[in-house]
This record gives sequence, C-alpha cells and structure tokens, in this order.
Amino acid sequence: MDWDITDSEPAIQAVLDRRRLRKQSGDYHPRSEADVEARLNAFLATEASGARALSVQRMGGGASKEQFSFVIAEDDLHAGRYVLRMEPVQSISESDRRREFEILAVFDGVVPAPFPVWLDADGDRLGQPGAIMRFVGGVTKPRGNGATVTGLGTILGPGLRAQIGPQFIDYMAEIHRLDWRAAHLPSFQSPDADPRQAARWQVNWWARVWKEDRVQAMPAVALAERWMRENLPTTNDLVLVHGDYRTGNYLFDEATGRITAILDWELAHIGDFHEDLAWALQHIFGSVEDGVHLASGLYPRDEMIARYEAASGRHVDHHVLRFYEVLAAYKCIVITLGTGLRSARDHHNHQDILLTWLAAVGHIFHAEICDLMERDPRP
Amino acid sequence: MMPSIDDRLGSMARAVQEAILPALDSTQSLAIEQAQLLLAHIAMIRCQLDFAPDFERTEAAELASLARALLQEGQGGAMTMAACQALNSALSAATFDQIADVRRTTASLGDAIEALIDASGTDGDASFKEASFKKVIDAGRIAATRDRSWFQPAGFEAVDVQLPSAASVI
Repeated sequence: MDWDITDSEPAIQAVLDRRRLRKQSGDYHPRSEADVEARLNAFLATEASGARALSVQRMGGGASKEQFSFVIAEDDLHAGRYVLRMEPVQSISESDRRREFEILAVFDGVVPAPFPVWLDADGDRLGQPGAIMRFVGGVTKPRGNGATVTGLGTILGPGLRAQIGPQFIDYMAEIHRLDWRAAHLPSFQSPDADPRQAARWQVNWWARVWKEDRVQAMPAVALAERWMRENLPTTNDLVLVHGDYRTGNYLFDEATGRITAILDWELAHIGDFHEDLAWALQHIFGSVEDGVHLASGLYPRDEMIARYEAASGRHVDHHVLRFYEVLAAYKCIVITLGTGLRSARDHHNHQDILLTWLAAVGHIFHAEICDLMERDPRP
Repeated sequence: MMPSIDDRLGSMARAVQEAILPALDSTQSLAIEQAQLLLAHIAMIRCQLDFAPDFERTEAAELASLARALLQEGQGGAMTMAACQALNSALSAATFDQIADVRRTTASLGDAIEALIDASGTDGDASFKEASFKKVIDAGRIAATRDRSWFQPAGFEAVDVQLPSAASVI
C-alpha cells in the first residue's frame, strides 16, 4: 500500500497552496468587458508599445477560465485577433498560467495549438492570472449538435469521424513523442524518483483536491483512492501528458475536418502515456452512433487502442490502462462534485449556475468508477 | 399553500423566458447562457420538488445501512479501529426526524465512512479490505443509480442508457 500523500509534483503543490490562499478572498465577480479592456491596454502599453486592444468581447462557455477575444488593429506590429484566458478565484480545475504558456510554446509547430504571446502569471497587471494567445478559428462540435455541453455526447457523423479520427490519434502520439527533457519547460518536474512516482503524483494531486473541496463525502471516492494506492502501476517511459485530451478540446474546420488547434493544456504534466488514452476512452466523452459506442465520438474502444498503438509504436498494457481509467473517473468526480460544487457554493467562480448544472455528470462517473474497479481489465 | 411553490417557480421561469431573455443584447453571451441555465434549473427543480425530502431520507438511510455493514466487518490496527469507533458514534447519533437532521446524518456518516476507508488503507486487515470493497461498490452502484435517475432531466445520459424513474428509487 502506497499511502505517502506528500509526494507530488512541487509545482502542483504550489498551485494548490496558492489556491488555498485565494479561496479566502471572498466572492468572485465576473469581469466586465470594459474593465478587461482597460487592464489589457495598460498591460499592452508595457508589453507591446503602441498596440491597443479593440473589440474586447467575452467568449461563451468556459467552466474553467474567463475568456475574452480582442483584436489589435492591422497597422500595428502585433496586428491580429487574440484570446485572453483569465482565472477566477477558483476554477473547476486549478492550474497555472505559466505552465500552460510554457507548454503551448513548446508545442508550437509540433501539433496545432494556440500560440502563446503574453503572460501575466501572477495577475498583478490583468487583475487575475492570465495568458494571451493568438486566436485560432474552428468549432468544437458540428453545427446541429444542439445546446450540448462541449465534449459530452458530440455526434461527429461518419464524414467528420473519418477526417478527424486519424489526426486525433496522430496528435496524441506526437504529443507523447515530444523530447520533454530537451524542451524548455522550467515549471515542470518529472516523476523519476521511482517507477511508481508518476502514478503516485497524480493520485496525491487529486486526492488532496477532493479532501479540500468535497461538499459531501462519497464512500466510493475514498475506496477508489485506496484502490489506486494499492494498484499504482510502474513506468520508466515518461512522456508529456496533455491531461485533458478528448473531443471537445480541439477545434476543427467543419468544411475540411482539419484539426486547427488542440486546446486546454492546463493540466499537462509529465507522466504515463496511458493516462491520455484512458481519458479519451471515458464513456461519457463518447457518443453512440448506429448503436455503437464511440470513444471521444471517433472509434470503438478497441479500435482506438489499436490505432494508438500503431501510431505511437507503444504497447498498451490493459492493467495500466484500467488504473488510469479509474484515475480519470476519479478526477472527473473531484472536478464536478468536488471543486465545481465548492466553487459554486462559495461564489468563487463566474459560472456558479453552470457548475451546479454540470455536477450531475459526476454521478455518471460514480457508477463508472464502481464498474471499473471491479472489471477484469483484460480485453 | 397559496401560492404554491410550483406556481412561484413557474412564474419565475416565465419572467426569465418572456421578459429577461428577450431584453438581453445578443452580444451578452454570459448573461444569455446563464439565463438559459436558470430556466433549465427551474424546470428540473419543478420535477424534483415533491420527491426531495424522500430522496434525502433514502440517501441517509442507505449510508446508515452501509455504516452498519462496515462496522460488522471492521478489523485492523489502531487507526482502523479508531475510525470504526468514530463511525459507531456517528451512527449512534444519527437522527432522521426533521430534514435538517437527515442532512446532518448524511454528512456525519459520509465523513466517518470515508475516514474508515482511508484508515483501512494504512492498517486495515485484509479481510476487512476485501469485505469493504464489495460493500462500498454495491452501495455506490445503488447511490449512483438513484442520483443519475434524479438528475436525468439534465440530459447528460447517453441515448442507450436506461434508468429507473426517480420516484421508483426513493
């Protein structure tokens, strides 16, 4: 039994320590466009002299960060359209803008991703920690999917599936191929003290969040933590893990099916490649088309695993995959029924009403985690 | 009760639908999204309202049942036995008279059960770990089905999922 709850990535510990302090700061109020514009222009005056943010507009969605789009006029050196991502007091999943900024810079030209341009990691100038990226066009789901939450039950249809599926697999394999040891990632630490450290760091990260945020205990969540500590897998093949790789977290061109950007890198870390695959395989991120469940709306489970093995050259261990599927369901419970509800209850987010709505999803993961712990992992 | 809670919720929904949403400028995406979610919450609450006290009593009763089952098997070192004792105390103090009592019972039993499972990870006997695994999984499945039925109107369930009605699981 591995019950060392103190062993986790130092940068993540710092993020969670900072969060604990910020939670004492009282209610969070959504930022007005006028306030953001004023802050942005003061920021740009020092970062990009002469540039002015125009047409500042709140972007829809976003249960985690407040997002605003703006443009810098064509006659400026920095002309173009941008996205500002800012943290509320408490996001549904806490993360660090500096790490997100570093990871996006590293993947520039490797896989399609928003290019990071400016950073205010501490929020001294923007009012809250924030990062500014180049705007990328595209959609997260086809028109006609209705008012579904992005990434849940997305129906791509056979045409888009055939176009997007291979890219989805190839980019996941490409992310895992990154030589992270040679990359400039000063805010990331690697779990290489022992072969179980990668898995232990993840369990300790999310178990701490659950214990700090839960609004009501759930015996199965405690059991899952115990089960994971008893079943920590080993790995000596450390990769850069995206951390939230699934349909809904990439943009694509609906006409061509080309993925234009992989999004939401905020939970990226160094770990085991099975983690991203397990996340993409989660039942709720899939869809049912013609009576067949498709992982991430793209492929039947076994086919997605086989395609990942072919694209990456890696062998998927089904016992390790099962561990990371339990971790994935655990994380989703922590996020939706833990942090999400706590943030809403304490008024620490700009989307309280969305968070209390999304919490219903957590009960699906509750059922899933019970099944996963009992399931024979062999295919 | 006049006006009834349902009538008041209905009038709130109409205010949002008929007066507030049409008054919002189409560029106000956050306000529009939140008003739409408000409507959805009101609709779901109207479906649940009559059953809510029974739901909460069922939830508390099932936790009490799990607590008793775990205490029958509780074996281990000092930490596990201390957690058993704390759970036993919570169970003895559990009351179900008023809805506020029920909520307190749910909270205290849930916390004590989680603490026992945590403690057993450190020094629980193998027999207790095996028994508690099965009992918690079984209870988890029942709770998850009840909660999923309750929140089915939120629309997150896949099209191939069949759940019992909320009324039938409380």
